[in-house]
Amino acid sequence: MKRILGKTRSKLRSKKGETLVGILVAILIIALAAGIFAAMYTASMNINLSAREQDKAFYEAVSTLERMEKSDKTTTTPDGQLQYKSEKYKDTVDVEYLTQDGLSVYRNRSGNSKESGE
Amino acid sequence: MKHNVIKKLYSRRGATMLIAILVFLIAALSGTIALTMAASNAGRYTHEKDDQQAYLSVISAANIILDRLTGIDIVYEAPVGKPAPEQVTVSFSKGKDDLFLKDPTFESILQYYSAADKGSEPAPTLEFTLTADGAPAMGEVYVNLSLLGGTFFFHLYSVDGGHRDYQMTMRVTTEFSSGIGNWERDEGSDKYIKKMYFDTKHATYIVEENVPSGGTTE
Repeated sequence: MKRILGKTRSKLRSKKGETLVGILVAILIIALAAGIFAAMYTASMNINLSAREQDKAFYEAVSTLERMEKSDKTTTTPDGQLQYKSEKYKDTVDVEYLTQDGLSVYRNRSGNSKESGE
Repeated sequence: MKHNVIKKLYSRRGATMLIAILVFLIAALSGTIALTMAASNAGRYTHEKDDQQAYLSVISAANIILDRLTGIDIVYEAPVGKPAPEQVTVSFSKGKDDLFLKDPTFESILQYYSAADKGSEPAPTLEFTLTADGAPAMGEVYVNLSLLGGTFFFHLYSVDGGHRDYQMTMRVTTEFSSGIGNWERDEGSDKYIKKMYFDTKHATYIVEENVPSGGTTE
């Protein structure tokens, strides 16, 4: 241990330079390591940001829906249809569209009641 | 200090070159990190309106589904007190009766859910799409319905031309008139019945990637 420390100290005090090849190799290794860390950091930042943006977009959409339903600027298209399709069944129901600023939602058509009897 | 700096700049010793290269390296790395982050963020906000429309489509579909589950009474009938799924008959006593409620696979899920003896088969799952005719911007919403414990999971997502999936899971629990495991003898007939409704008032929405696969435990 003392020998290693002694060698380190003498290296630090030494006035000799390193060869260019040695320096370039050291730079290459540092650059590779730093590149990997940078990529990892960027990836984790992206994942965090992506999750937050999904939540944000969803709750903004909920607010937009509520605003559209209450706004006078919303255009209502009453004769829309919603197609249901699965492996074993198809169906169509009447809906109405609400449109504002290029965004659309659909909901049950006013007065639409296809209900089963008791 | 100024003298030392000038002396250092003009020095021909190897250590000076090393310091210069190190400074260059640090600057280059900082620039690379900044550029990488900027490049990965580029394009993130160019689809904001598409994002909103996709979520509006998903929410519209969720509201329609929730509307169908609200106020509906489901009556199960079986010839024995501990029926297998295929022995259960499902009917709706009130509420709307369309879309997935009429789907044979949804009936299978309800039969499975109500049965006392489920056997070794997992709960069936239902996949369907809802497409808004006359509103192409809304796209299709894909829905996957699965059952886990006493909860129905509706996993909805809209695929925006492969750009991103806009996903939401709606969880709806159920209530039984006579306890989840109990079949009551119907007076006046030799059948066993139980009644169920969906607790849509306490439906929860989760914006997440994963959804539980089929299977139920009571």
